[in-house]
Amino acid sequence: MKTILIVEDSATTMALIRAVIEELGDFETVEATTGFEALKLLPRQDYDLVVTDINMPDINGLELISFIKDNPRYHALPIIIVSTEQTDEDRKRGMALGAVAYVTKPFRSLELQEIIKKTIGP
Amino acid sequence: MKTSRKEFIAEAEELLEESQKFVLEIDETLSTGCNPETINALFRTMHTLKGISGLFGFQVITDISHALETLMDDIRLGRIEANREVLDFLFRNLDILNGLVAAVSRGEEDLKIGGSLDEIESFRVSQRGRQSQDTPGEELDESIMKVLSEYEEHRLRTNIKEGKGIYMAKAVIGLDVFEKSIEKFTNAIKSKGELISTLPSSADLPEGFLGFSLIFGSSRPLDEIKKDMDYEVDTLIKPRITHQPAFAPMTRQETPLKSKTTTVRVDIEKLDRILNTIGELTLAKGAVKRIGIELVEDYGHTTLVYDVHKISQTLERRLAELQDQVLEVRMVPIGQIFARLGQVARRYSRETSKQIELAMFGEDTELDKYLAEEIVDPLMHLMRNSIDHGIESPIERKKKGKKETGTISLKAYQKGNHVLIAIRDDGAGIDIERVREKAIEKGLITADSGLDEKEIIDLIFTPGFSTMETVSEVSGRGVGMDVVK
Repeated sequence: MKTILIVEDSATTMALIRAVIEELGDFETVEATTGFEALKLLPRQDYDLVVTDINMPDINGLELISFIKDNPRYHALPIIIVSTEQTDEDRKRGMALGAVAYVTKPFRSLELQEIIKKTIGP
Repeated sequence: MKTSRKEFIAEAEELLEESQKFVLEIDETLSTGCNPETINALFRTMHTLKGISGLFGFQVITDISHALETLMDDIRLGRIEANREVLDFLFRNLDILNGLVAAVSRGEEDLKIGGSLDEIESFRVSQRGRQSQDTPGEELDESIMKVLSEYEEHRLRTNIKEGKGIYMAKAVIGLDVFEKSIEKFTNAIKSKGELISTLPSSADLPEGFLGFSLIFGSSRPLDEIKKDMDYEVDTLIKPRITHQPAFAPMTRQETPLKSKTTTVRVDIEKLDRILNTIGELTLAKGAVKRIGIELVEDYGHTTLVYDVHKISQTLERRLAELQDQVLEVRMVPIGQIFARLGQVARRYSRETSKQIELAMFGEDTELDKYLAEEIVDPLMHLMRNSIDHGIESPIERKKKGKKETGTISLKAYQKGNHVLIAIRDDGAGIDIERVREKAIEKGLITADSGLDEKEIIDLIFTPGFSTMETVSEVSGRGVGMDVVK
């Protein structure tokens, strides 16, 4: 079974992303509500995908992505950003750092599901 | 989906409450220079509200929070100055959002809002007189710049522009002591300047360790920064000026980070259920105790009987503890309520053109959440009453030789098992004669009933009582003081 790490500080959004993924099929989800928590969870097990927000209180999504992409251990781990687009600037930065996709909130569940399927298969 | 809608409402209310707190905080620090972290936190709450309302399809809430977020973004990026006018505008719109969320919680589907959106946008444009002042100055290494969000980049440039030095502290932290260490570390930095970015580094580290580079701005020289900091610090850009602002850095210690990560939101109904279960357990405990006593009567003091007695005592003690703990969980600081009242006071003082200063004492006094919600309205009435009937207009106050700004003080304190809340104003006081006349007119008392002052004052707590000649927007509808009683 494939495991997805979701990083999102809003409980409501977290619940919705979880629901969307559950609907998609056999995935295990692990949840982090801050960037720090994600850093702690990363070494604990192997993940197949990270879904992260950008605006977070401690370390932001961009910093998290750069950490993952710079680390040979996690380098290949695909990352999808799910964030409310404020300016185009943060989207550009996220993609430049190596995210595979940027999904703008509010997203349609089908849209997020398509991207997840495309990234890590059914 | 039903429960998640409930979750949405809870989170939205919480976010709006936080936003109000932040705006108040910014308001209070306008003269001394506000903390950029608070402005950023305000932006983030609105950002989250926009996100979740969008996910739930509450388009109106999304639109307004989006417009406000854009405004707040301009503020945090320094394109719009946070001044009183802007803050009043934010307050007004937070009120509108509050109203919309309340409508959602009443189950209304068709949310409507008038010209608010255009108003926000034109307000933003009108305030945005000056352009972004982010002119590239000294640059940092490309590898650092590319991870900064737009906001962090702005803060970095602002620090450089203000002549502050830019430093980088490096830390290697074990995963087992992670939270504590990082908090201590960031607090140490915040006491010396402004933390701009926390970059986790992927350097080759032993299993179970994480490396961090923290970039911060400070007007202090390197040797002073290194003092009582256990970590390696490098200078990225040297400070041009090295004086210290009087208070700013010290107040920067507080971050909303902690509450976000260590608190959970619990429906009060769930706590009630726990209390019910405790009630049932208490009954069962009573039975065990009774059996213990009967055992003594039937078998005397054998070891086994003694054990039963002991265990029932432990049970009794622990149950009492449990009950206290659950009751404690339901407690909230009254400061939450005061903050809401503060907002109302601001709004009404504007509407009545009276100048009001609110003084709060004992904000940390805790009381039951349920009770806290119940007393909001009565307190609100009292405050409106103070503003409308108590505090005089600035001109009148000046004539009387009083300060033009009236003071309303809210004070909460604990006395034994009770929480006492006192609200007082330095206004005109109660016009005993007017109250008496009105009461006679309304037939509440007769002209010859010999009431003393205290009894007359008590009359204002009668339902439907009002001495106002005209019904004002603020108070004077005759609804009010009876609610308080």
